Amino acid sequence: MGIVGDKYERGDFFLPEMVIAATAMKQGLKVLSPLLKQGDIESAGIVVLGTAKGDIHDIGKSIVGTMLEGAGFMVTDLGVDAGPEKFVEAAKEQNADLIGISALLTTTMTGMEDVIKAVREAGLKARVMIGGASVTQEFADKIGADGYAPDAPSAVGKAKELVKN
Amino acid sequence: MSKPSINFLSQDEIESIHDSSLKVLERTGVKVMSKQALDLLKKAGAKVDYVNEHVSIPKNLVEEALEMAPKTVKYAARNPKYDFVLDKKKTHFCATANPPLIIDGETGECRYSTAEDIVDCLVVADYLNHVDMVWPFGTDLNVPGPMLHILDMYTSLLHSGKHFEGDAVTTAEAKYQLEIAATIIGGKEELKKRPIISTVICTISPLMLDGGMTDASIEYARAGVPILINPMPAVGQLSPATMAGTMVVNTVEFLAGLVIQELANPGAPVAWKPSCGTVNFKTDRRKWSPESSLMSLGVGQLARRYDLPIQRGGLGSSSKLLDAQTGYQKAISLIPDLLLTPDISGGVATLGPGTCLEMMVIDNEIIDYALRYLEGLEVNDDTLALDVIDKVGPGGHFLGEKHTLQHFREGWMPEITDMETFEIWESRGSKSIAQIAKEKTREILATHKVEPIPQDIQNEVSKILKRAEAELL
Repeated sequence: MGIVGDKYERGDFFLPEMVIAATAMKQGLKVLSPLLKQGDIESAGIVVLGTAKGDIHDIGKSIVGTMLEGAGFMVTDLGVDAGPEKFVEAAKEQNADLIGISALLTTTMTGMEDVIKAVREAGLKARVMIGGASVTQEFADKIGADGYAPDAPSAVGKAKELVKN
Repeated sequence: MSKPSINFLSQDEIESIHDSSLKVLERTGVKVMSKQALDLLKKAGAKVDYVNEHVSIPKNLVEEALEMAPKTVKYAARNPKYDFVLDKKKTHFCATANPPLIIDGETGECRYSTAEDIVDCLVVADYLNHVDMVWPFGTDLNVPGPMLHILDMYTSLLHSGKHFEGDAVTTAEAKYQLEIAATIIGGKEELKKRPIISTVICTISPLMLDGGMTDASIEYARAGVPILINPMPAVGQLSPATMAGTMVVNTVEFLAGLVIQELANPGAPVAWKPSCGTVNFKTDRRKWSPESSLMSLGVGQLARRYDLPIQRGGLGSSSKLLDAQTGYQKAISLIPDLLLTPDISGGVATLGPGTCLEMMVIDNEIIDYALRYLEGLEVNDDTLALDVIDKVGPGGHFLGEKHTLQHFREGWMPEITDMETFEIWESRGSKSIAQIAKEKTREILATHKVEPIPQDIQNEVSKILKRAEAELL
């Protein structure tokens, strides 16, 4: 995946190659992980992803999920129309390092703030990052998100950064 | 007059896309996330799987829907002089704006739009002669989500006399929008006769119809108010990585939506609003491209085959500045589209990712040029002008001829495009088109008054809005 990532940065590979590689990586890990001792594979982090309440657009989130898995993250995808309770519950259950919320519509991006509030109130350790067509860094700062990325490839980099701290 | 036109896909190619779409509707089917719509489809004989919300739509339902859908659709406006009909004879232009960002065309500043920006855009849109209808110009992020679409519509109707094309994502939103529009125009029957609003349903490619939007549009169908079905597949992302395959996905989603609307209310006014997009395979974001333009034209031919109204293409751009890139993107996006007379063309007031007031004035000029181009030219004895050619003879000039006096005003004259010599341009302040456009918008905002909605009607609408807030918030 490192090689794939380099080729992507250099402009030799594009998203279709990235997605196919990440999918292959994920399938490969499924086969390998029962054969390896516990602790041999260290996941890059545990992520809970979902599309905000009222929004059923998911392609951006799904591609982020695929690429995070390709980068070694363990991803729980809540699917679409996910409310704050769903995010908090899944994050608790998975002991998530990172929560990712996606929204396409301007009417649903306001719901992202509700998720952040719920996560803070529940005292979870997870960082929250957001993304989506109408979302900007400015909006992310305004609602107190820990991170924002404008597209799937940079979301992986941002996720790695947030999990490290 | 002989008008320029364009040849593109052959009849066989068009039929092939249509036949392919019928195959997909039957074999692959679509997901329809609305129980109401699934019930309508089941009752009509389609194969429905309620658990997976999946439906296989047979050919006969499509053919019946195509038969029932009206071939021309009226679009009315609060100011009746802005009424028009979608009848394939003329293109009407929509300020399709890009909420929530607004870009200052002169300074390049980009920020979230305010309520004031939205009103300014509506006043300028009301003034400009080539803006025939509007979308929401901005998004007031202080308005709670469930009220946003309703208030977008009301704000637009308050500050502009032109047709409003919006959207509704729930039945409740649709009901309140229809009630408010009916109150403004004089009742439900009047709204049916003169729909001052229309609604866009975006499908979710590939092959899915959103439940909320489908339910909302069924309300519109039942009220006899126009609906536009807006599939938005993108080559290699939400549809196959080939243009023809993407056009098939678009057609399938449109036909599925059309069948539902005609089952909900036979004769419901429906238009097609195809957005066949392309993405940047580096970032997964939609991008401006010649391929989008080609697909727009191809789907336009398909709409002709169905004899249905269509809104497609228009003035696309992706620059964040009012610069050369914006200029060429807008102009080369627009003109090929118009050669096949879409009923509605969009993009007015968009500037890359945002909305731009100054851009609206410039778009108006680009359209003005395009419309003159589309008028074509006349070849007859008078225009061949043999007598005056003979009269003037070799050398000389035509400026003082009677024939010239009769015809010279037919030539296109720009409103804001600068075509002067360097010295004259310099003496007038060396202004850029952005500055000129800014001055024009200031002039419009200082002088143009929009006929207000009578206070008693505004009071009625306030009561409806209070009810909406009580129910939805």
